[in-house]
Amino acid sequence: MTTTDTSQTSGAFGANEATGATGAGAGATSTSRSAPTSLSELERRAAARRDRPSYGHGALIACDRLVRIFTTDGVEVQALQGLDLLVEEGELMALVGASGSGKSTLMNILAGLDVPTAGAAKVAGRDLLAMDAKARLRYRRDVVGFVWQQTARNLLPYLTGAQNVSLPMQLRGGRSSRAKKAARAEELLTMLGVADCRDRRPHQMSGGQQQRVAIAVALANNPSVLLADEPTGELDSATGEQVFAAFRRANEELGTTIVIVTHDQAVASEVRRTVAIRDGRTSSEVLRRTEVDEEGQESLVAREYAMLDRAGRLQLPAEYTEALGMEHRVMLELERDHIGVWPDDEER
Amino acid sequence: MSAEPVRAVAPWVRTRLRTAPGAAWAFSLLVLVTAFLAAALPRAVDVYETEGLRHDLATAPPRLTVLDITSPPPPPDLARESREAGMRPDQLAKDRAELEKLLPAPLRVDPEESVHGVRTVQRVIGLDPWLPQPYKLPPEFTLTAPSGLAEHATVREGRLPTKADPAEGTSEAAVTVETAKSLRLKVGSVVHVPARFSSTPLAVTVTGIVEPVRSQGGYWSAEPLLRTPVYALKPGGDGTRFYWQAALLLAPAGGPVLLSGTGDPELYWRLAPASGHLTAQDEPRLSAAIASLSGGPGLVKVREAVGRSGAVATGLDELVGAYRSLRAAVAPVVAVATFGIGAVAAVVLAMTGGLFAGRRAAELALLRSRGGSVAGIGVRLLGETGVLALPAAGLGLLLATLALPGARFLPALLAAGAVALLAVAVLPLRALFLHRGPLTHGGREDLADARPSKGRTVAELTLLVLAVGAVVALRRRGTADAGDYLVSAAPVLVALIAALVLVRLYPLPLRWAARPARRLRGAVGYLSLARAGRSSATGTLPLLALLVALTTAAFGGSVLAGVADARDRAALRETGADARVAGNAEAMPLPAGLARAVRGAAGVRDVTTFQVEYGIPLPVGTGRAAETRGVPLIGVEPESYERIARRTGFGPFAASLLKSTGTGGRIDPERVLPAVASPGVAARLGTEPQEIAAAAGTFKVRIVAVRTATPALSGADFLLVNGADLTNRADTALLASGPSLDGGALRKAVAAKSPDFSVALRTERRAAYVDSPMQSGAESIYLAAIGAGAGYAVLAVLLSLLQTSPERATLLARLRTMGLTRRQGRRLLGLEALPQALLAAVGGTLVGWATILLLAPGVDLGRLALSATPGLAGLDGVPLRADPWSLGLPAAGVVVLAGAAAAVQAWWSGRRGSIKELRAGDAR
Repeated sequence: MTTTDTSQTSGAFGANEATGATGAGAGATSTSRSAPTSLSELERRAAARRDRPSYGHGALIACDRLVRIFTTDGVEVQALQGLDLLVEEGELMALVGASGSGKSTLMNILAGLDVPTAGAAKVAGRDLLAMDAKARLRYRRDVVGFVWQQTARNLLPYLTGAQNVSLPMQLRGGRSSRAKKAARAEELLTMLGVADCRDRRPHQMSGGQQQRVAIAVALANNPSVLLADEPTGELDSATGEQVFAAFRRANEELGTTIVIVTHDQAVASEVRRTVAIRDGRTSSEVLRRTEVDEEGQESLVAREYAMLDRAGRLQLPAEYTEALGMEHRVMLELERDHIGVWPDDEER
Repeated sequence: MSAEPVRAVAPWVRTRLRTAPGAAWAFSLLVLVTAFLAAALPRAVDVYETEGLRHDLATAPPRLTVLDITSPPPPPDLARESREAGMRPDQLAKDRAELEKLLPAPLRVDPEESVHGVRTVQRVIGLDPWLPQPYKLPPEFTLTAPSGLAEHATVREGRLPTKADPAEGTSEAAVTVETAKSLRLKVGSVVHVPARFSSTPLAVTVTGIVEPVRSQGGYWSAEPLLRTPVYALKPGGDGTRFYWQAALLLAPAGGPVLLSGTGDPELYWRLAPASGHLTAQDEPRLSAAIASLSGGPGLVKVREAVGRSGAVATGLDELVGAYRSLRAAVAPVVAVATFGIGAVAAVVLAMTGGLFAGRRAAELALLRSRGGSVAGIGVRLLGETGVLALPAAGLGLLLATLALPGARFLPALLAAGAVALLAVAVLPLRALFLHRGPLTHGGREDLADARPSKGRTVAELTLLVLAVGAVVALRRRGTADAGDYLVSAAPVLVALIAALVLVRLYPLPLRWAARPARRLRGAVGYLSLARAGRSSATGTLPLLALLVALTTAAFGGSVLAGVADARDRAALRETGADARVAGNAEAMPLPAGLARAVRGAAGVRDVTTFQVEYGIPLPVGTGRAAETRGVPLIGVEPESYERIARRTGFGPFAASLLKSTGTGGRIDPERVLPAVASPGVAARLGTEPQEIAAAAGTFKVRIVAVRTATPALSGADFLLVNGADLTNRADTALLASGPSLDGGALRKAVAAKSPDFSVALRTERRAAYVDSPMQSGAESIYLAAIGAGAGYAVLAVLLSLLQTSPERATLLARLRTMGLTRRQGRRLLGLEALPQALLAAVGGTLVGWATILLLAPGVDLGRLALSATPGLAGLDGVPLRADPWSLGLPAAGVVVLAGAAAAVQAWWSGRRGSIKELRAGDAR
């Protein structure tokens, strides 16, 4: 049984006996009992808590109830409202969602450019909330790389392809020689199929080439995560496919975890896992896997799942609720292997 | 792309510079010009101050500049031989060498014009009856045995004197050509002067007649009597008896002869100071050296050298003092220009940094988000600007040093260094401030921050309070004791206050105006008003630059206009009209027909003649003014004189006040004449008729009007009566007016009548005021400041327009897709730029006006305009007044410039395609 944070808090303050009584957590029970708890008992409980695997243990990216609030002219906008997201190492996944759903905010946070207001976020073992400016800079240098939508904005217009790729290495400093940097740039460009862009400046490349060079730039410092915000947004579908192939290639050859924000259905259907964000929360995800049927035919099976957060909240897809006229409240029924959800039938 | 293989790892600075060569060149040029100006300014001030000091010393009469070291002859209780030995040329030369050595630095002797010797303190009478004796008075001679006569004179007749015999009381002597002519001396003439203890007079034989070499130099002109005899007025008696004074130049060995004369011999060493090596910075040391020599440790040393009664006399201290006070008067006025132009330049440099940082914001944000550290990016930017700015500043400094030789290097180095520092640091600092944290991606950039941040508000308020406090302190303290730089910084402070306040306030009326404009039919008016009201283009910086530049221009223009005005008035005051004809000596009546001849000269429109008699003793009268100085009595012809007075503005009065009493020519001490008097004279005479006794007649006067000035004379006191009423009528001077008066023709007309009358022209007097390098130097600095200020103001306007030009190009492109015509586009940009330009223009005019009001009490342009003129009545102090042209013209220029820049941009973006601006996904 999992103890939620809310019941834990109320239990610790001993504010409400009734709340404590309804909860089944250890803290709640301790306050309901009047006998004092011994120190050894407390230590034992704390140790048990510590040793339990934390949320998202083993995942490369773990966002736990992430909240980001923007304040402009005294108006607060809650861009992320307790978002949970786990991404395993080596995964290639897509994030989809309507405009303003919080995708870009999440990307900025993961890229180390923005700091969440509350919650927890860990990428490759680094706590995004606890980093100081120096650690954040190191994080940007070593852990993440990113590709933005505007092809022109990923690259410095006055540097050639190779120079753009070696720029992050230069900015990172370190002792690797010029030749090594050049070799690394060459290698990346070749791997992504844009070796011919080595000595071209961005305005001499096509959009697809620019975006592939941008991927090379993002990979320059061998990051653990590559973030891409609508990388194919400005490209036609054929070119978009090439760019997506480059991502896949980076994922397969370098083992880089890749998170792509996209509107492009083609891209969304290419990846194994697509997470949808709605109103600042992850709402559903689609998992795809190839199944081999009895006749030996391979087919791609996609299944959509709704996300259950750690408080037990569930987002029902809008079309489902509208179809059944669900509003305000629904009826639940726990069955042996599923939970039934019925429209509220009070008035009927 | 260059031909050489492109490196895979970009060398940062070189790549950047190659990327934007235009911007790099422009930036270098700006730094070069600014550093040049910054370095040239202190050097120019140094140069004109140094030139001023040298000029003052070199052009002052040698009488004032020489160090006159004197000592009485050896005391009479010594033996005659040793007394004479102490006066021999070799001994004097030895003493001179010693004196020259002990002169404290920076005093140096000009050996060419220095002289030593023995001379008589009292003039002695020439006993010979054949000497010219007008009024039966014998001539008086100064006997002197100067050194170095051979080098300073060319012999015209005879030979130089060589022999002298103290025992016999004879000496040979030379006289100058002028002396010989006036005293009727010839080679071989023997002049006898009385001896002290003997009935046998001393005999001085003239052996040579010489012509002075460099007669205006110190050797001859420190004591002009040596070369030019004087026809002098004998004091006492009835004041009309003249006699001759002249000098006999004895042989060098003739000094001891003077011991037996009656003329109180003294030894003298007249050391002419050299001025060519002095700089303005030597002035305090020079003053100290002179003070020490005239009454300090220096004098003690002089006495050790020449004897216990040695004395040092010089007018050098007063010259240096006058120089110091002129410098002190000019420096704060120049400092105002310096501060203004410096502030504008600094703001413009800061704006360039801002422009670059703004244009490269996206690039820097990308670098920062890709893992560039603050220090790393800072160092790279520092490298970029340093590579450009440091050589440019160095070149500017070099050019300034070459262009203005002969000035201190350190201030120029500091000034150019400050420019370089600012130019190098401003881009990195500004960029790092903007990018201190990485910017999140995807933020909108076209959002105008309607409300500036709180931190900014607090910072601006602090600055505002400080500036207001400084101005209030200045106002309460007064600007008269301009001892510090708070006064000089006043224009910048006032402009700063205005900029801070105006930037906050001015969008409000625009937003109000935008509301009714919404209902108008055309969209352009509303759009431009709305945009101008929300635009982030009007930063404090460009407005500050414009305000300071306009203020500096207004102040400088007002100073120059005030100076020119003061000179005009002073010149007019000195001559009284466009031309003045007067005798070379007092009381010379105008020759008959001269007035008519002048009237007939080309360009003369009006002429008035009058009679001046100086030194009329005033009766005690009311006795309120105790001083009994003589005042000049002026007899005028009221109608024509009044016309001139009205035209010049100097004490005009109604001609009927001085109506003739019809008593002219009569001797009648009891008659009462109406008179116009100066305030001083009126206070003394009171309102009752008072008796006046003058050569022109004896009569009573009653004061009918009081005027502070009158054209006839430039002095403060006068008494003006109708000339027709005087007993002895003889006009002595005339004033002629006429705007296009021909000086040459006038001179010819006057010379034809009498050689003893000279013509003073107002225009010539006017030109003579600009002779001091201090004044012309300060003026040219003002001119340069106005010019440079205008240049920087133009730059400020262009920079602020450049900063927002991409955004405006996008706007135009978008609006054009909606059907905006080119004409409407032009109108939109013009109307949008207009409010800011108007704001700057109106603000600049107000700030300039306020600054002039604030500073006027402390600025006396008199010293700047007329250093060498004695106090002229009615011109005490030349206040600084706001000059409407100086206020209005630069302000109008700003509006025109902003409109032109907007038009050019509209034209330019209309010509270019708009594909780039309309690119999807570009958040601009």
